[in-house]
Amino acid sequence: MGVRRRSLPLPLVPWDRRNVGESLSIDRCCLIRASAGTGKTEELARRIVDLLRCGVEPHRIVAVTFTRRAAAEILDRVLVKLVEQAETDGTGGGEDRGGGARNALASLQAFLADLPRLQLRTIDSLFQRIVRVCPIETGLPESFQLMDEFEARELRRSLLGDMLREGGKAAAMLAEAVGRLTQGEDGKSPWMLLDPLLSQFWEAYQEEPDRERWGGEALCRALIPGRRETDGEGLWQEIARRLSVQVPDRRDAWERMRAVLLAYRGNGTAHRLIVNILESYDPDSGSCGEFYFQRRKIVPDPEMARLLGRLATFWLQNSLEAACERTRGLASLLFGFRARYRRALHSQGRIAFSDAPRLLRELGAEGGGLDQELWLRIAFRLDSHWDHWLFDEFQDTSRAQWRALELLVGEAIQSTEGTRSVFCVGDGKQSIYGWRGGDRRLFEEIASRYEGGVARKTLSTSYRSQPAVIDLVNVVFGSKTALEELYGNAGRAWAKDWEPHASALSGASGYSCYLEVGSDSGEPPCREGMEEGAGEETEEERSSPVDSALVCLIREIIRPAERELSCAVLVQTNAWARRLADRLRKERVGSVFLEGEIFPGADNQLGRLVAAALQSLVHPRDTLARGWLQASPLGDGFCQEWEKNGWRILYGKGFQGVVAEILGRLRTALDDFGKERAVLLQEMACRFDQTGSRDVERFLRYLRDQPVRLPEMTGAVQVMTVHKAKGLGFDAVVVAELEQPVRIRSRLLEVDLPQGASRLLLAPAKTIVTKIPELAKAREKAQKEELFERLCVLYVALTRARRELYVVAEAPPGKRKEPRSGSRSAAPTHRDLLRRTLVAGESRPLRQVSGMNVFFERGELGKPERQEGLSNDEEESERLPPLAFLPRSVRLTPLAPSRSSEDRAAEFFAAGRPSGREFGVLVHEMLARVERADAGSLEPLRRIASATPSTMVEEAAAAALRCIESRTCEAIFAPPSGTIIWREKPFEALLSGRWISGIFDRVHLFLEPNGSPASAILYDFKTDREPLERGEEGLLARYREQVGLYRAVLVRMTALRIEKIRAILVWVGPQRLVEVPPSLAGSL
Amino acid sequence: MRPERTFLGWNQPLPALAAEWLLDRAGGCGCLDLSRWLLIVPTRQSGRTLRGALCLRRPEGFLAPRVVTPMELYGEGRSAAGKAAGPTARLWVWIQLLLSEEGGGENALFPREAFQPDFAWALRVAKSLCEAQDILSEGALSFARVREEGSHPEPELWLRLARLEERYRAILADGGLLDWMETRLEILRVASWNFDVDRVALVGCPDPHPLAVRLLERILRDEVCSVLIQAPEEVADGFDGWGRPDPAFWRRREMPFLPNTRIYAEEGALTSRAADLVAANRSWDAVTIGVCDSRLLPFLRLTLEERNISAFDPGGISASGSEWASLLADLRELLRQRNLASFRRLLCHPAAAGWLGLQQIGTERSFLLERLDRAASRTLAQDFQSAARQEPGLEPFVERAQRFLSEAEAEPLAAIRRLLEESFDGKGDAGSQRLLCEELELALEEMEALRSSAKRRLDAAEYLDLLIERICQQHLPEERPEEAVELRGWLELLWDDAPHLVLAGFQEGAVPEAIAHDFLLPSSFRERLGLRTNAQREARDAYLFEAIATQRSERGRIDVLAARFSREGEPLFPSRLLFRCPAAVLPERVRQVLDVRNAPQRHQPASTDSFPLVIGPLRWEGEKRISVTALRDYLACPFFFFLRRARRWEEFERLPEELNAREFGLLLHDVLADFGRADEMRECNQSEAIEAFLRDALRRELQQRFPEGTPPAVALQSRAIQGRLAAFSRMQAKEVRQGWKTLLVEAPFELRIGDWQLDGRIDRIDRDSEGRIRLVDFKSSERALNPEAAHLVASGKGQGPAAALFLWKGREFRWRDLQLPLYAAAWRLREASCPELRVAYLVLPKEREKAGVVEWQSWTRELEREAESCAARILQAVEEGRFWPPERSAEWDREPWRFWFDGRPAEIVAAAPGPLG
Ligand code: SF4
Repeated sequence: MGVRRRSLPLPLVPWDRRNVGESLSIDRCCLIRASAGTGKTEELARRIVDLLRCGVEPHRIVAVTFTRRAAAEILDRVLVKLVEQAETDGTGGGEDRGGGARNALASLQAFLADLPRLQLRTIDSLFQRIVRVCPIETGLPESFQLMDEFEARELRRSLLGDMLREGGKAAAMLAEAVGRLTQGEDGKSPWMLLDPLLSQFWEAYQEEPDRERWGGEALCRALIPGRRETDGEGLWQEIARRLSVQVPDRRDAWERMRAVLLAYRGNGTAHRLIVNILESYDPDSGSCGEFYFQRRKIVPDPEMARLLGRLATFWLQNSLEAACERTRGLASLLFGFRARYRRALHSQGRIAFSDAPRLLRELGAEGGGLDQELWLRIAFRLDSHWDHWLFDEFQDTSRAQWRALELLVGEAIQSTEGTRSVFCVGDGKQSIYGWRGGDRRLFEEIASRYEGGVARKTLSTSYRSQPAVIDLVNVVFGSKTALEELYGNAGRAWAKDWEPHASALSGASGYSCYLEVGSDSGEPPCREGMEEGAGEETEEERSSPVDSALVCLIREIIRPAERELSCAVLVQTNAWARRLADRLRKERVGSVFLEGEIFPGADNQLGRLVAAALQSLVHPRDTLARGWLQASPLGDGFCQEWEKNGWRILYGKGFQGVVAEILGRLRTALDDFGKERAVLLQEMACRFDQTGSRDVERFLRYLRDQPVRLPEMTGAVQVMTVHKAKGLGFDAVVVAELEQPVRIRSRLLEVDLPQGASRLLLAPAKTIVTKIPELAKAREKAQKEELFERLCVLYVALTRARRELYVVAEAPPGKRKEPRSGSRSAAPTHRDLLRRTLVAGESRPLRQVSGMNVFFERGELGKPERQEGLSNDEEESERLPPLAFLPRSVRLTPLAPSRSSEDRAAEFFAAGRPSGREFGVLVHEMLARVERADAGSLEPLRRIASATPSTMVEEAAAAALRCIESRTCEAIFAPPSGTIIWREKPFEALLSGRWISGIFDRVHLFLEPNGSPASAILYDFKTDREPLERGEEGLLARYREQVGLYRAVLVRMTALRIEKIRAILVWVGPQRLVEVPPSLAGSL
Repeated sequence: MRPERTFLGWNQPLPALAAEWLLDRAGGCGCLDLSRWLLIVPTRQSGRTLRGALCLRRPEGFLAPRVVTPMELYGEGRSAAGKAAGPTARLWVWIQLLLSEEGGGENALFPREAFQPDFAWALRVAKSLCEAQDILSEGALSFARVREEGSHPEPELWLRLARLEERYRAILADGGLLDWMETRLEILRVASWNFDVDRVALVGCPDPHPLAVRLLERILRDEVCSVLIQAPEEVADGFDGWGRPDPAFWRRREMPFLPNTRIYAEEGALTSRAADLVAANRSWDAVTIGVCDSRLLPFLRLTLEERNISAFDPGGISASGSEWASLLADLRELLRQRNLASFRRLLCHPAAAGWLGLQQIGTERSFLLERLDRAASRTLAQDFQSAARQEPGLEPFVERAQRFLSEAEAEPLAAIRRLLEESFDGKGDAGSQRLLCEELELALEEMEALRSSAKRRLDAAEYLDLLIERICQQHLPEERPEEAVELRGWLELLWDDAPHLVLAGFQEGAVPEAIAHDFLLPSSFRERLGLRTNAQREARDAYLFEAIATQRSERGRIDVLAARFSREGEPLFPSRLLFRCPAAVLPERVRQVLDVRNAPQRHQPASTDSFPLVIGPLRWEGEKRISVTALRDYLACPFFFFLRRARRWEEFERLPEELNAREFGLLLHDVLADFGRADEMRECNQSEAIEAFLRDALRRELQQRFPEGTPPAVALQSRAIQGRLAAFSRMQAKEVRQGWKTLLVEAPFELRIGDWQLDGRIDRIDRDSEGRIRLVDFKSSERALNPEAAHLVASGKGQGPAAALFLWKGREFRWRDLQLPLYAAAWRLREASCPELRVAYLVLPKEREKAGVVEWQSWTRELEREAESCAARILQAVEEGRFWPPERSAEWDREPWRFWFDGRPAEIVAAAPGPLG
């Protein structure tokens, strides 16, 4: 594991020695390009170890990862490395760690001691950590919570709901925004218009809240030349006139098209004729060439060409204007939303993941950087000084994140001190998050910004994939010419940094192949390009011939369950993944999971049962849910009972109680699957209950939409998009959906203005974009990015396989339908690249799967040996012997009989009425102060009682005094001398196994001459303020049991016979004594 | 007092050791008397345990000692100067300050450029400030004192805090309340307490609040306070005089690596191991689960519940999940939103039933909910009063809520009081109920005391916020089951004497616990201020760990369970206490800790259907009457038809903001029908005039639907309708110019087929100048539809019910809909001598220029007859109960049907056979 390092020992300023001990003998800036599976984590962990060995304090190190798994893994690896090094040190065979200032054991100790201050975090949690200590600066309470995706969506929903409900000025603003957005083509549902827009553009807007950037005036002015075509009608007429001369039989058609032609504003699918005319338009000459009109080629004469050119300009201008309008509408929608969103964040004390970097950036907004003082304050609050930065998966860092990070790291980069360092590991080839802001160019930027030596390294030996898999990857991506020809600039950029991979797993060969499925497999070919409108009309599910071939492939060849393999089918789009998973499930190829996630609330009968019960409870009108429930085994009887009890259960026990109740009613025994789902449902409910919400509709949404992530599983097939598979590895991988051409995904174009600035624009139709040079350029830029990213996606997909890789594409349509050659508009598909690089010579049919041909093959299908470590010593040590410990000694809760009549719970709230209990407590306290009614002990009471103003304390003292001085009670406070007097004594006792805990108000104990007890009187003071009608009888009835217990305790304590103990209730208010006869208080 | 340490050893449980020690020192004549003893124990729960242990040793009974927790030494918080402010009062005052002018302005604690402070925000910050005060109280410090101490990089911040604190005290004083800290400092100064005792002992309390120790030190300087420590003499160096573990000693102390230590990959495995361990015991009473990380608690409970093991937490369960907390929250929502949703939620709340008079009036809740839904989707009204106006059944409840709202506006606190009284009435007097009531009452009193000094009047919702805050801090006692495993927090474990202890969640951050109050008091600053340090906490926990392990080493068992990932996927790490070992063995120890027990590779069970839906018998049981549109369902899927038309299963869709697609279509229809009925417009060929008429009609329709004003979202929708109407106007004008005139609109018809009656309504019937008739159906879907494609499809694709198939021009076709053909048939019945008949859609899609009349081009009489016979075939099949098997149809892929039947009804339903099948 020797690492060759170019060490640059850097001189240290003297005062720095105190921090690091010794000079750092490692590279201060290190950039590592690590291809897939080559051990990025390992590299990073090694770096941390090096830092530690150099004497760096652990809390000065910040390592940033993208996933929590990675963070944990790095921690483990650091520990393992230190342990290994310490062990070799121990045996004396330690490698000399260069300038290692600290031995491995000491480093390990230091590392463990600093655990709580260790910054080994995901980038998100790092940001949150910082924001959390800035409540003053951000206005967010320190205790803010983080919203998960579900909660963020719920918040968005509710804010949008508010927006749609609010009247007045807000409504007018919204109406204006919507008007701009729809340009007169309002749909039925504002919600369906706005909700998707928010989820699509909200993040982007947060980063770019400057409204002027969104389709602002400047853009419109820059792109639309001074002279405008305004008279569409006139143009149309003139063309009509000329057309009737030139092509009389198209005149009527032209007439009929009037409305469509004049209305075109670059939105939606344009009429064929418009597209044709626009395509023939040449922006330079400003005129049109020949075009097709209802299958007839029309060659315009020069005048007509010019007229048509003007018509095209008319469309272009209108479209551009409309696009600007739409963009501005969007911006004003987002602007309005933003205000609400921010208010909600502050008042709810919650933020979403993406808010943290933004907040942090805003802290540094003034003056372009985090000002030194603020940073000092933050560092103080964090108890940290971060000098060494390490970044994992650097290519995924988004611009937005980087702009926030830069505030913190910038100094480390620029610093020339030897005490700070930066380390990045990443792989531009895996930057598949461009669509959400990942920016692979940052890597280069850092390198250029860094002053001083930058150490670079490239890793291309895979520890994940076996040689056959790597072979295929090398063949596909090693062909510079194919990449360039198919992908243009993007391909060139890709090829520039390519280095052939190698596999470190030389023991086994693995297997890889490229397969094509003929269109003769009996299924209609996949219909591409039906992006919209599929919903309403198409009944038939779109399917691809690849589907059934895949089923066979998995069932006959991969056999994951039988061979105990983890297996993934990787596709590019969510829709495909969903469809394919459905299909595989229906074909029963085993357990199939979508996106490594399951939806316990929606993917099984139990989840639906819970949903049905709740839905019919909350909306009795939903006869569908109710019918479903009645048709379930719970049946009609349950329905009616449920209607009565459901709410009580919900509010008493939460959703967890509801789930338990419903599932508990099922009499059918559940199989393994059912049991597992039942557990997951319970857990979901339990988690939801933590929020304290009892909102049924919200819970139902949660139940339906909330996934549970599953770890890698053997035997199951996971269908997922490549994006979800990033960072994962599988024994066998099938890569499909390779025949889709690249589409530009983002509708937002970044348009460079002549003056240098850039603006954002909701792109109009492609036909329009290509005819406006600035837009065309912007689109090209976007396309290049997109193409590059597509290559990354393919690369990531192919490198997920450990042992077996199956690349499956649909055979291209017959030669006749070859796309028009030379037309660059046909975007490349992955299949094109695969065919170019992998197909050479003959293919052979795949034996087990009809219609499938093998075009490329490496390695062989062997029997997989289970990796060691996975099937570890299984349960053995886990099995528990029966344990027979004795129950703990004290396991009773004491029974404390009620001493006073307490107010009923509800009566606490009677306004202005002091609580009876509190009064009682005070009176007892006063009475307990007096042992004997002599002047000395009564004096303080008198003093209190006579104080003004009179509050409860004074009242209590007066009541006590009246009682003590009354005739009836006199004797109580003047017992014969020699009497032992207990006042207000708590006691404990066990009575027939019951633990009794109480307080004796007053006990007089009379002794035999020999000092042993002879008899006793038990006085119990009562402060009941009840009217006297029911009188003593009532009092007796109320306290008979309590006093009985007390007397019984006293019997046990004193060993007196029960007759020797009198029990007397002292009714303080009316000053009455009530003797409790022993027979009634039979001992227990 | 001066401390005098006694080492009890640690081979036995602490309660037993302490009880023995005490009993040896009891006095009494005739009976055992401990009543002159004052015992200080860490928590109430440990006090109970001690009393129990004593009781078990002296079952005949004894006079009990006074048992208090350290801070109870300061008494009830009432001193000569006034009453100590409770938590609600403190929050109230801070909130006032944060929201009042002093909060903003130049010297504000929180500069307000970035945001507009509101109550909710202030509440959170106030909590944070109270927390800071509490932490500072460990050193008897206040904000002002901290400022004097200096050494903070932000002196201005502390100056502002100190100023605020001054005002905070003043406001409290106005309400006759004293700051918590002040009362204590006063007691400390006079060095007195209210206990009439002879002997004092601090028992098993390794981490008493520093203020309590201070008081002990001050009081009765010559007396002795016994300090009972569960540890042997040998480790005497490990404790200071008051029995607090010494950081230096415990940092060096090596901890054993217990044999039953397990590190799991995931928390789920951990909880289920804990449950296994409990289950392995003959008696659950022999086990305690030490819940080191409170996050685990709900999931532990869940796992135990799944195995039918009852659990008991002597500390009680948080009141935040109680129905009272949710009642207060629901009320608050009603006060804030005053909308239908919040009113609806209250109606559902059982605790509100009494107050709303649900039982009194005796209405079924489901009936009310149904009414509410109906009212809501009809009016889209946001406030509940106007929504309910149209549903007389709801009146009394609305009235009550309304009354509460207006009372709350006038006198918030009084209204809340009354409401609580009514709600708690008749709810029984269970201990937990009483506890809550007491707590709420105290909170109310505190707020009432302060009311007059308010700078900013709080409204009822804000008062409720404070009440909710208060009760959420409460723990309610739970019923102890017959036999149960106890769940206890880490700090309670020293006092636990169960022979088998399972430490669940022995994680870094939980043991030792990480205190985070970083914004004001980061840990190094706390240390500098002399507050409890992390090192002290770590020493305490090291001691606790050793003590609880050692006492079970001979006669018991201890399992230490930790995990590497939380359920949410957050990485975790086992407690650093596990690494307390000699340097030489550290590498080995690290390996042990990293040896994660993978849950045995989960083999996922293949999905199955836990039960089928039993639906049947598949029979048409109603009268033989059906609408024409219903036939479309049969053509799509007979089983779908059965559920929807025979069983009348219908989803309930409610969009709280806007009209749903159906209502949208209806509105458009109604407007167009108004137009069609207007004789004066019949021959109008001026689009502007038509449009003006339609705009008017739309306005009328809206007014009728929403007499209180059009909701904003509907206004947006009405603009969409206007757009479509404008397109319609142009198109209509053109049609009229071409000679088409409207003959009839909304013409209902009945069509008999066999002994069935088909109902329908033709949207519009036009006639042109040559007498041709055209039957038109309005279609308002977003995209333009073509009637032919909507009705017919070549039967190659997909299947369909047999009744739908037919041969035409030598090819096989399948009906998807029979609407227009049956309209034609019905019309022909009415006008027998009908000349040429055309059928068409009048499409009004989103894109205006595509609006227009789309005729069925290839329409023939033949198709009409075929459609009739298709209808007959369908009705025949319906009569015969041919509803099974389901077809693959898009209907099953549409929500919510897709959800309920998973897109595969054939597998989910076990249909009972119909009469024929
Ligand atoms: S506008 Fe229409 S209704 Fe009015 S006169 Fe002209 S054609 Fe007739």
